[in-house]
Amino acid sequence: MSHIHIDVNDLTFSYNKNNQVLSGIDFHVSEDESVGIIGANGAGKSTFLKILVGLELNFGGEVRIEEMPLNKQLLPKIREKIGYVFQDSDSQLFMTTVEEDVAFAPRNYGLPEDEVERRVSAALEQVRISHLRKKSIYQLSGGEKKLVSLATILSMTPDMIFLDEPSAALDPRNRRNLIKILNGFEHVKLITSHDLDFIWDTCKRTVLMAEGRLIYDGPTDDIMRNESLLLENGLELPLSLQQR
Amino acid sequence: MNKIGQAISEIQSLESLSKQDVWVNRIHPLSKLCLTVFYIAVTVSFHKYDLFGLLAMAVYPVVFFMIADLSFGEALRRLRVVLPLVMIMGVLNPFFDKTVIVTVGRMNVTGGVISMITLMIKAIFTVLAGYLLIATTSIEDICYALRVIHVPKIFVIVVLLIYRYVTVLLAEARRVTQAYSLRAPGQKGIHYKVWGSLLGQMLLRSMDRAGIIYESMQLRGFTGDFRYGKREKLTAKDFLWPLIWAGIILLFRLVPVFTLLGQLFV
Amino acid sequence: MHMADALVSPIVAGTMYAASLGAAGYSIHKVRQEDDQKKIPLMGVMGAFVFAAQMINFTIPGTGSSGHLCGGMMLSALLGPWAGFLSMIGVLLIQCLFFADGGLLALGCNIWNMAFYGCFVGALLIWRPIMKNGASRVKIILASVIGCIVTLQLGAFSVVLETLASGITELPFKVFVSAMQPIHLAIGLVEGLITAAVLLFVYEARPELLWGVDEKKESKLSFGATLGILGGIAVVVGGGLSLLASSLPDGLEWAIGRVAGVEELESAGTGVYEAAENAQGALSFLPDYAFKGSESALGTTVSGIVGAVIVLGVLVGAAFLFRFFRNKRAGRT
Repeated sequence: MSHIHIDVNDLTFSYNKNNQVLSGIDFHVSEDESVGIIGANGAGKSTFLKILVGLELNFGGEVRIEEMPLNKQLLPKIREKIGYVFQDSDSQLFMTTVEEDVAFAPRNYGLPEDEVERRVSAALEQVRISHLRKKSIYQLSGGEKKLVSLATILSMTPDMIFLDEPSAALDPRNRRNLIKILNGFEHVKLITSHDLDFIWDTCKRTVLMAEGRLIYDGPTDDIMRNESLLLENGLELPLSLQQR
Repeated sequence: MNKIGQAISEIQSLESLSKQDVWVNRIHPLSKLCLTVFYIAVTVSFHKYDLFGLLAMAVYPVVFFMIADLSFGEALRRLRVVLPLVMIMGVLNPFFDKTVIVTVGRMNVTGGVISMITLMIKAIFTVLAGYLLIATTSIEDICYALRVIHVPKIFVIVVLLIYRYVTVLLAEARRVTQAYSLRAPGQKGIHYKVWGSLLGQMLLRSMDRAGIIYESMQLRGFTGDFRYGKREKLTAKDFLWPLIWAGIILLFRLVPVFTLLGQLFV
Repeated sequence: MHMADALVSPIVAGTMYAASLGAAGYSIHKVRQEDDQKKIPLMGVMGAFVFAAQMINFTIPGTGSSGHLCGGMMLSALLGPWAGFLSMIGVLLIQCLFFADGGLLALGCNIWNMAFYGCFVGALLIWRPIMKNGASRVKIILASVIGCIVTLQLGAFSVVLETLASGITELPFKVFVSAMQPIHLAIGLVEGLITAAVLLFVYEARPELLWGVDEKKESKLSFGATLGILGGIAVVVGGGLSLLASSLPDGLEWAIGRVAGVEELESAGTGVYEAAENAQGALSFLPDYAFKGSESALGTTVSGIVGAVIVLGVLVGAAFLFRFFRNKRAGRT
């Protein structure tokens, strides 16, 4: 039997009593696969990701990450396994220079300085931005910031990478570059996006969320061609399939 | 509202200067910080009538500017911030202090005139010294120096965070005010009816951003403490530079070098 | 209202640094006690917010001019006085480093004049007592306006004291004060209204973000805190006054004379004599070069000019040579 990375059973979540954000979610990732999470605004995609990294702990149901139950005690261990790339790079990157920001996680995990140094170089190399190392964050372009964000979590050497709307602020070239880099990774990836073409290019499997429920879980190829299902849930066909 | 754009470009230009890989920039930041404070303290310690003694203090900025290859004009432009207040304080001195100090030919030079000039020169020298520090030392280095002298970490972190988000929020302030002025042409500032909502929205967005930053920190192992890397070891240069300068500055403070030297010739 | 380095003497600067660092140390202690990790990014971002917001011009109705936000008061109302104070120090430090607004030596003064009064007096003595039994629109406006006016008055008065104690200006105390205080009354009112507008918006949108509202349990402590703050102000202001008295005897006499309405003409003769003597003492550092009459003073002046020209000429020449050879070497490699 293969290793179970993410095991979610009957997950429910609400910020207050009369507003159920997520309900009855079952979700399993047991191979090194990439899963796209799509859905209209307010479907609960981001909340779902935040629960999986333990930013919201008041959920109902059962969540196990790398076979550990998600709770306060195990949180530090679980978080070491997951890298989370926020939608807004400026909020994710809070140190002043690229180098300091990429070194933040390994230093906080108490690694010796030569190991930190090795991790930083490797992470920057993985996303091919070693030349940005000494730069200030604010001097970077949107595309560069996204890659630095990715590097800041790669330096933690996580098993899984979660990305929230990664293509939102990217121009076509940077977007294509990001797809190429992500496809080169062997990590488990969860990607939320409104950019269905992006999902199609990076994930073989896709789940569709609507009003806090999972209503489709299957091959990306199938759902991307299912126009009626997409339309019903506030989405449209991927641009690559739309006729001009 | 051009002020905001100016502020952004000012930070940018200082930042790129201080990130250059030149030898002055590589001197230990604590050396430079201490030297700067020392220089400023000595400079302002001159008596208000001691114009020539004070002039000798030009030695530090003049030489530093030359060898560090920095733009004098750029530094002088920064005077515009402090000069108004200094002017107000000094410009009336000639009217209140009419003591004749020196008679040159038939002209009486009063204490008020001298103290006014001294004040202006003090302002120029201190601003130049400040510029020399920040143009050769990055904020990360200055914060490192603060940590070396045991300034509590929490404060140093806050300074770095403020610096990091100043540019982000200045850019946002610029967008907000530009969007406002596009819809309210001809207004010089923000109308009082939208004072609260314009700034308030920006404030709530900033607070939300702080929340996301906190999440980002947590997800990367933050538990209330920041860890920093170490710098290279101190070299002789890090001691020699401030000590030699301190010696020169002290010499010029204690001995009226200009006057003595002039007497050899007059 | 930022004090520049040129406006303070080292003693005044040192005194104000000590006072400000004391308050900062206490604030750090309090923030650590609160142990709220979430506050760290909040302090940073809100500091940056104040910085940016102060660059926005707000039109003052009925006038052609504009006002700005009052940072200390607003930060305290959101973060509490201790975190707010630290955040303000960060803002002032960055303003002085990057914009020459203030100065490294005068930073202690500026922290005291702007951050301390805003955060400690404004928040602890004005904001919190008013908000003790819950907030309302009127209370927020009241607290913001009173807070800003009082903190700016204190700040302006401190500027006067610090400058006079530094022996920088010849402005008589009375003239100085009567110029500074009314101006800052107007500024305080405007800043108070802008700050109130922002805090009202927060109150309506997210009231839970306001600090010190409905904090009945802390009201017992506030008596001690009040005493502490008032004591701190007394020590600093009193210390400032005594410094003024010691470092600038004639200046203070003159100021007091003016305040008391004594005719200064009577003592003009002796005053001038004293001042001239002081000037002589200042112009010559070594006793050998002490001079008696104004002729030798002229001689010293001429020597000074000649000497200055020589020294600066040599220095500039040497620096040029240095640059020349360095560029040449750089060009070769």
